[in-house]
Amino acid sequence: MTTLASILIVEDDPNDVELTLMALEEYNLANEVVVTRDGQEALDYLHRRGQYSNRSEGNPAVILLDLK
Amino acid sequence: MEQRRRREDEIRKLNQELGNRAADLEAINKELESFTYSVSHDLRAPLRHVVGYSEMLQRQASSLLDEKSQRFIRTILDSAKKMGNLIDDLLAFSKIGRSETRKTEVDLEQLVKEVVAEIGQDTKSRDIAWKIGALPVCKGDRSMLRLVVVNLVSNAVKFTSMRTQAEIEIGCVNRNKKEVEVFVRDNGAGFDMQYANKLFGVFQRLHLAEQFEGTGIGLATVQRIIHRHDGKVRGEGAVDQGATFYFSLPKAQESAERTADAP
Repeated sequence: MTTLASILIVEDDPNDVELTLMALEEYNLANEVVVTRDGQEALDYLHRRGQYSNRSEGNPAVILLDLK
Repeated sequence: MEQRRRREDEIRKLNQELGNRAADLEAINKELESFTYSVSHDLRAPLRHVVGYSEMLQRQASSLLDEKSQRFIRTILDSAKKMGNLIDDLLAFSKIGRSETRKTEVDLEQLVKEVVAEIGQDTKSRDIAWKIGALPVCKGDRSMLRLVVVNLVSNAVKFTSMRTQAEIEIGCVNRNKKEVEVFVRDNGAGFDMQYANKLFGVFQRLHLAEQFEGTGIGLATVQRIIHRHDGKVRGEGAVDQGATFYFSLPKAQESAERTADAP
């Protein structure tokens, strides 16, 4: 059985995080949603290092982030 | 001789001062641009939260709220969305000031026909008599000039909404070798010439918001784009007698020759 890829959110504003999570919830997705607060943390997740060194393998299905 | 040299010195000095002042002005303008941009950009985040949370509240609690409270939420949402539109327009307006113009030869007639076809899609329910005259090729940034035409034509459509038969004419006058003046004329609400100087200001509106919707940035955008093309804008009208908006542009070289050869 294949596991569902995660959804990665990169956002430092807690309000935007909450609104995004609520919007995703409405679609009843079974994917794991991971919230990182900045680009560095997001890279740690992608490269499976730091606090994410123990996460299971595989890239997220979608990354949501805003770029300036 | 002595006097002449003194005068030349003076002129040189004045020119230098003028140059300095122009540079100062340019710097101030740039600063103002980036200020407008960051203000409008940073205003969006909290506004997005107002809209987002109001919508969540509406969905989650509407069964618990009485009609009056529900109306309060709707008013919050409407106002926040209106503010969002204002910010979007302000952002777009400030971008026009900052972005480079890419000037090529632009076939105005083709551009106008394209825009009218596009806007005509949204106005099928209305009776509008379109009249499009011959327009020359001119020199300018196509996407910016498209925005000028879109703004003027949609204004004409909007301000004729109360006419059972609307007439909108696009043509050009005053052809000379170097410049073309294009006009968009309608038989709509018009305006009082007394306020003509306010027409092209940012967020200036001569009509009630209830009567004609809009944020009041369209003509300011038109003016800014045309000024960036070294052209001029003006408006003529009378209350309930329709309005005509003019913009001038430099002609493309080839087109200028073609016109000059004409009898």
